[in-house]
Amino acid sequence: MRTVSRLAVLLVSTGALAATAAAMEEATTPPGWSVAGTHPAEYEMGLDRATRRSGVASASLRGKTPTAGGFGTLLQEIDAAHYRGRRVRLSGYAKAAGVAGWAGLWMRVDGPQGVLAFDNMQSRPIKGTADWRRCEVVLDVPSGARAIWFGLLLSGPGQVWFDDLQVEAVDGAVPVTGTASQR
Amino acid sequence: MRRLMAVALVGVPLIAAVANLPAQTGDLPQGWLRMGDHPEDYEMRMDPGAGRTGKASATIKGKGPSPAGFGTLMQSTEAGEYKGKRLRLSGWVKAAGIGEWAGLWMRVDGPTPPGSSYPAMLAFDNMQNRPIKGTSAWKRHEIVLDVAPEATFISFGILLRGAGQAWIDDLSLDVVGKDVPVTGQGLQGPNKKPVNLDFES
Repeated sequence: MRTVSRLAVLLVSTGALAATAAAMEEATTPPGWSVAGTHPAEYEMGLDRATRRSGVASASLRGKTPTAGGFGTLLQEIDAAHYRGRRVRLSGYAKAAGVAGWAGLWMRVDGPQGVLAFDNMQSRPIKGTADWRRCEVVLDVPSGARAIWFGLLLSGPGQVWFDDLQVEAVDGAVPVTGTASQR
Repeated sequence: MRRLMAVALVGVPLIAAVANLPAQTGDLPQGWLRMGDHPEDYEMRMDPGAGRTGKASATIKGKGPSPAGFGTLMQSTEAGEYKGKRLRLSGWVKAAGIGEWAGLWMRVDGPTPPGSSYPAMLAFDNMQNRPIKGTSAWKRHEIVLDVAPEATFISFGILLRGAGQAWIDDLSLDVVGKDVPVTGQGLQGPNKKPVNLDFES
């Protein structure tokens, strides 16, 4: 489990670089979000106006083939300044259709030397087919944090939709879901 | 994972890549460097009789049936006159038996951020989303990136991952108008706050 998580950290850590190489997807990338992952070309990622929990659109990630590998992610990076010294919760609603691998929300807190905290829901993955359900990731943002990355990921075939995300500071009574690194 | 590493490594600045310089002989085109994460697995040289125009082209060839990682023939130039401009790298590539992929690539570097050992990468594209594969005659390819005003260096080249051979000729770096779409994403700085969490825009 530890090894797996570490690998996932690595993958998402390097995701930004892959993003630069990422496909110009057919689907419209939601403004403010970036397309990334190990195999971004194998996933269609973007706005979906047909399926949504509220409003006019959701974000959809779909493995393009039965052999879609690695993972694809929609992500954004924010300045940690506003959240330093606080516990931060990323929450949202997810709907799944035939997710053969897994999907999840993820969040990563980076310091000057690397990852400070991380969770990608790999321990409680979204799988199979399921209607809209709330999920969340809670991490502490240490005072030395520089950036927070968060996003939506899908590994393998199938399709997942996310909508109505929220990033907010919560109090210490809300348990963290991820691991803090020992840096 | 492996493919991602290639992306990551091409993203690694010149200084890091220099440490990987192989002791390889053969005629290197003047001004070009042999790089990559496994440059020793790739033959990179001039090919005197295989030009698209003129006499020579440059070629990169995987050694054996399953060369590791990737190799790249590249060069780096000061951002100087390109700062604030949209820059197009174009070139002609011929392919033979490329099992994985090859591509032109270009990267725009900025100043090294405080606390980091590497320059910031400002923009990047390596054609991974439109790879050159298999066997094909000379075909023109291009990379278009915005060069930010704070850019310091621009690196570019051709990369090959896996078996096969690619030839490259008649490269050109041109400033183009904003009507020419960029092929790679610029790397935006972080958002101050999360945005568009309800996907309504």
